[in-house]
Amino acid sequence: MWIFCIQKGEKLSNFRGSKTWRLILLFSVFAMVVVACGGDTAEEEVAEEAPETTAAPATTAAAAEEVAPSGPDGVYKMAIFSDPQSNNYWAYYDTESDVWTGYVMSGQVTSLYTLSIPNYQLVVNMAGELVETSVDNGDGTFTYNVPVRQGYTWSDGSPITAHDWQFTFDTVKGLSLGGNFLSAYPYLCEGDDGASKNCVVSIVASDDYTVSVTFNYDPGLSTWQYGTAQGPAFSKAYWESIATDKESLYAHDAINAPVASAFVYDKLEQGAFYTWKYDADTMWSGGTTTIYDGGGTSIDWDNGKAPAFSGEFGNTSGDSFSYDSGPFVGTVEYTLYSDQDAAYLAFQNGEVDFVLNPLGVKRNLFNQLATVPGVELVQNMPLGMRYFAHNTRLFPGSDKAFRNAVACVVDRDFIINSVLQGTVERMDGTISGALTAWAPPLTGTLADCQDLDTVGKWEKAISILQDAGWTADDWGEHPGNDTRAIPPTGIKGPNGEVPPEDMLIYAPGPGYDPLRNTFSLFIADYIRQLGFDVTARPTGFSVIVDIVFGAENCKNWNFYMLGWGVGIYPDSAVAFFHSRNDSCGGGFNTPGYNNPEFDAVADAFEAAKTVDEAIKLSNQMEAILFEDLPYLVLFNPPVLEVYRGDTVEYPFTDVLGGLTDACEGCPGVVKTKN
Amino acid sequence: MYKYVFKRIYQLIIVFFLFLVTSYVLFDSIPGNAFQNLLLNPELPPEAYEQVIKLYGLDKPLTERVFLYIGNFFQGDFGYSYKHYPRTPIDLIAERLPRTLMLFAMVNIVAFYTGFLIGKILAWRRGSKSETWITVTSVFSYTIFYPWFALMMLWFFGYKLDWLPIGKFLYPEKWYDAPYDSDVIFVSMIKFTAVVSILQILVYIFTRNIESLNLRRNARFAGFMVLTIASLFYWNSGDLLIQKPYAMDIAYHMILPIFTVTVVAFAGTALLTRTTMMEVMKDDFILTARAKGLSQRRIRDRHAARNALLPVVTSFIFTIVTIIDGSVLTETIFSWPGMGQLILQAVLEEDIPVAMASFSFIGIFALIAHFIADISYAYLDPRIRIQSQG
Repeated sequence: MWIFCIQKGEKLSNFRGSKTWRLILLFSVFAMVVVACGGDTAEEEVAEEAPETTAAPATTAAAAEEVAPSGPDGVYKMAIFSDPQSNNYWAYYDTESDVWTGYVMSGQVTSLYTLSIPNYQLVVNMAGELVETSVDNGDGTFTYNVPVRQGYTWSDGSPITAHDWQFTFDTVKGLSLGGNFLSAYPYLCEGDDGASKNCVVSIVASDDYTVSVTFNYDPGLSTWQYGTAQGPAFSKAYWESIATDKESLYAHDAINAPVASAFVYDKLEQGAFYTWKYDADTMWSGGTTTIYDGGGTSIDWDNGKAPAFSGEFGNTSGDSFSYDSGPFVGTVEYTLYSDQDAAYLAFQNGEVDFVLNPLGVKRNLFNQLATVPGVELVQNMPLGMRYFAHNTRLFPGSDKAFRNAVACVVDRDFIINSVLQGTVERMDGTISGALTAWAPPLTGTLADCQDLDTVGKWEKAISILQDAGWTADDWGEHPGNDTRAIPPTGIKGPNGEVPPEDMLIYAPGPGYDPLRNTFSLFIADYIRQLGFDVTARPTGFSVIVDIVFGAENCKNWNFYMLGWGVGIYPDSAVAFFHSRNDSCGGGFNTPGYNNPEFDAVADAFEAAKTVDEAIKLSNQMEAILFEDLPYLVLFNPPVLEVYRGDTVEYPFTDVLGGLTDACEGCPGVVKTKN
Repeated sequence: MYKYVFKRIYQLIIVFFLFLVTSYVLFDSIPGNAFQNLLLNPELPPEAYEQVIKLYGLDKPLTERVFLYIGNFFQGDFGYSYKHYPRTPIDLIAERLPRTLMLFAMVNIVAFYTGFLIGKILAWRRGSKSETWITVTSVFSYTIFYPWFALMMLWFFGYKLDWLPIGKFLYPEKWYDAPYDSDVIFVSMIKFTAVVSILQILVYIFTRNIESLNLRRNARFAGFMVLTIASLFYWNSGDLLIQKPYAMDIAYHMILPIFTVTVVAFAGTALLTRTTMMEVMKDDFILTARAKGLSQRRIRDRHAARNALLPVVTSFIFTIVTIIDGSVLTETIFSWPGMGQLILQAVLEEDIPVAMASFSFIGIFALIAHFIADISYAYLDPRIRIQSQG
């Protein structure tokens, strides 16, 4: 169009002074007058007419005429990378449980227990106390009776009572809801084969303020305190009439659903942005949380609107720091950027204060952002690990000596420090080193080989094989630290088994994860130096998942590399290594690890009622795994995050998992500076 | 002619059926599935995965699922989105389509018009210095690595100069109290653009027989001015007065993507127009026009360019499909949540119902576009008619 205009302009200049020109000039002047008048009128009319608009669409929560709520002001702006799939917590908690939906989801649920941040201490939420012992009903069932604190209401004014928990469980069970509901409220008491399973039998309101949760077994910490007791409870008053069938329930637009939080949904503009606004009538604000070096937490809630509460949880010894809960902002804005580069450009430009990114900032961008004025950097350890897995169902992965030899010969420190330039943290066991109370001392082969040089590691690995009865035509030699070993030839297992040729290590490709990809190439080379024909096979993430998690393929692979993100309660070793969870039967035990000794300790761990007992048993499990090594745990990359220190401040930034993972950008405690 | 049309329709039906089957099988053959995340969450019991696989019928054999899908498709049942249950693919497409239509209709019109004008000038100035540097620039922009270029444009105009927004299609803070959601505004903008475009074409048609070049141009310019003034009145009346600031916000956010895509896309049309027009200019009727003593500009615009337009318009018809499917790259880089992003997301998440519905929609549109082009050719070129009759 601009070319058109230029052409016209040039042409018109040729016959300036003609009748036509005068006519057009007249038109133009008229047009300018109209534009000028039109603009003024528009502004006046907007001011007058906007309040009269009645055709507001359903997604518009706030009409223009609403009076601004009293309370904190300021806007906390965060970038997200993907459109939330729903604003309905039921749908989110089932299959639509992607992180972006979770970040934007309003506080439509409450729970009996929760975790304090940043130390992840178990504390009460709506429960009056932490109930740790169950009542044996004598018929094989066990019941936890939990008092619910009185005087609290949902944002629509309806009281929070024990009936909300009963309604939630009945709905989950009655409508056969899946996804995370099966984890929080495992209601299936019978498997497909008719066998009995551990389950929640019922949740009933013994009275208005007592929830009775009955299991068909006596559960421990992982199932009760870190499971059902933290499960979501919905407002019965609001949802009862909606929860008639699964489709209607999930299809419900929950923009006006009551919340147990200080923020309510404001504007949801699909594909563009989402906002929460401060609820002026909320009782869910204020309070002081104190975090102790001993790991414990004390809470002091008294905002004058809700019943006051205070309590101490865990070990409240040592130095401490306190922070006040907000909210300190009137609006929380989530703006969608489909492209990460665009999001970080907007961040540099000051358009957003924080970028919600579960994977964190890439290292090079992180270093680049360090030079931008006003930008603060945060580095934390994540919850999870990257690992190398053996298929213990197949030779040579079935041989414990082989797994130990591999663990010894792979020089993880060399790869991490020399190749990856120290960008990741080495991990030894399945428990993050940041969980200091839980992390066990390193034992077994990994400990023995830890301080050896490359030659020493190779020689130790060979000796492990020789001691276990492996034979070779020629055991080879290692010329020195700066070169590869001359590998053994004709290597055979203790019973004369010949290792298969062309064994593959399935690993993510460099586009998906260059770190694991690099590691896989080195691991393959280290194993080849032991005389085994192993090749790294970088491939698609989904391809690996199909191969190693499909029951039908459970014996069709030798090695693979992937990662796990795990919860704060370190019980994942049970899922990964208990024989009942063998992936041939659809579980998470992909190596097919089967050790009755481990199973017994894992069963005891699951039944543990106290943290001390659980830690002790967890350490025993880890010690067994250090001996058997079905996984060679490799490393974990730190979570790198950035925020605009010139516009916002957080009461803490050191938190396991980072600000995104731990508190979703912490909108409840963040303060804006402007 | 009728026989030819029926034959083409028959072929289109077979092609569409094959398209549906092939698309479904290809989507299904992507490793993993939409519910893989359940399989990878150690906090969840295995039943969570098994339950959902049964719920969506993914435990059935592929052939059964393909024919079930096609059967349901022709009954207008596209199923539920796996990722946005219980929303249907049609819901999601209806939400995204206006945004893509608005952006890419403008992109295509601007890119085509610019390309055609530049191509025309290039052919006419053959051998001149300006032809050389414009051709070099066109080839450069035609072959540039688009994602890099688009990011550079964002960085330069959005971050460095701070003239234009860095992606998105609106400024959230301007919409906090908006009485409409953006789709309402998009629909108004699309209606407005369509009406204005039709009127502009009518002006062009009604003035095309005015013999005097100056008078014709003046008449068209006057028509343009009248349309502009009418547009101002239109946007300052009734409901549209309230919508205007929001429409302007969206229009402001459209500038950079339109400019960026135009810089890359105009070159194709320009080079095609140049080549075609150079061929036309060798024809005898151009020589005749010159012999008649017509002005150079008249020969160029009314004789050569018009005859060169046919293949260019044909290529434009085929590019219209991009108005529907958008562009994954453009929409991703400029955070423009349209059909391109919906398709990308559906494919990445293996949301087969949404991916299939989107592709089917595009497929139908593409087939219709080809059908129209074929029929037009048969109509315009007697050789095709005669061949089909033979």
